[in-house]
Amino acid sequence: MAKHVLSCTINDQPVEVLVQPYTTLLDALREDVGLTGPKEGCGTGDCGACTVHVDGKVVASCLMLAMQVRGRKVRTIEGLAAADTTLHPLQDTFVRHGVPQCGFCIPGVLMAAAALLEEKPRPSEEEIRYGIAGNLCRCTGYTKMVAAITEAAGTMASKRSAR
Amino acid sequence: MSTMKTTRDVKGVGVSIPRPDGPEKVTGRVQYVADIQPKGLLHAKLLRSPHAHAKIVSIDTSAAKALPGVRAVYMGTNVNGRNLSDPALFPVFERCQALGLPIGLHPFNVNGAERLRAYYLTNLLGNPYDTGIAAAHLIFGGVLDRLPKLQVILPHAGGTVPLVWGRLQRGQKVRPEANRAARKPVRAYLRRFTYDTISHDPGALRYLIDTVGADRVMLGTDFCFDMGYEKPLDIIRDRSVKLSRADQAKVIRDNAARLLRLR
Repeated sequence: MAKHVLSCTINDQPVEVLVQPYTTLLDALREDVGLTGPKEGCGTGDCGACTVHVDGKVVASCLMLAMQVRGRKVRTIEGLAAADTTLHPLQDTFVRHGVPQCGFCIPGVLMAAAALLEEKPRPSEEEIRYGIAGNLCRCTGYTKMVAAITEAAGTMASKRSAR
Repeated sequence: MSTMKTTRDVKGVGVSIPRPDGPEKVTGRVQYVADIQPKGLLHAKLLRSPHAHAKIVSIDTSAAKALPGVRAVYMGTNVNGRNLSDPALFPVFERCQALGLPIGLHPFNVNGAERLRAYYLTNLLGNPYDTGIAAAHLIFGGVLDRLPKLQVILPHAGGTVPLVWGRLQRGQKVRPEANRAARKPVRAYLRRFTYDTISHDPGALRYLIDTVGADRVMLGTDFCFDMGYEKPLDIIRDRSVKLSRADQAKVIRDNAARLLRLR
């Protein structure tokens, strides 16, 4: 089968790669673009470790074909921090709260949480738990995740009001 | 009791310590095994027949060969019970020689599995036996004579080959059945193969190297299987194997690099 040219924007950079029509977005990111932050936990959309943003929306990249992001904007965990490598407030609170244990689910959880805070800047605990419901953590570190996301939401809100 | 220390006075107790790997885990930089792509990493792809129950008449590997970096072909010690001297398989060997691709053999569907069920013997004995059968067919079947540049890699330190070659050669001399296609004595074919180091016995590895030469033995790991080596270099550096530094380098690196053109 012939490969297709995929042009899109990944982490604010224009990218062009050759992919098979059946290549998943996850495989294209990991194998062809070399971004191994998104993980394959299950490959069937259950675990959320492959979560990335496509045009700001959360998607399981293992369930999306790479060619479906043609001309669209993709953001992975590698593109969550600022261009000057300053950590995103969520990354900062995740480190300080000691959220990552084995760390395998963290890229997905952070992308889900970042999209949540874009949509709901001050989510309730219930909304946070719902927001990361698609992400499984086998270390079962959910309580610290909720605390870290809550704190990050506060930090981001006070930054916004200071502006 | 006023001198008693509280937990706060003891270093590290009652204090939250930030995890040193926190930042790399929240930025996606941390490397899990599946994320590691070392320079020079090779991958294996399976080629399956597109036709059920078909005989191999020819094999078109041009698409595979056209890919950059194809280094070797991996194949069973038999193909669904067909021995490697079977004429149906000859086109495959012919093509591999033409393309300069070495063939790495590995036992599967081993002979006599019925009687090897207990004690994991299908692997422990069946594997080395089947490798011996494969090598005998390549020699006695004349495959190595017809394809003088074909390179074949035998797993598990050659299985039975290093120990039984003398017997094969005796048979070749006295039994007409064993003296059909091969033009040279069995001994002459031993250096047509390359052998890995998976013998689990330093004495056997020493004997193998004495028999076939240090330039015909290459590092084996059997990585990820419990029958493999946890520390594959140990046996090569084992004192009783008495390998010079130069020979160690051949076995560990140079022989594989030459065979797989990894320079």
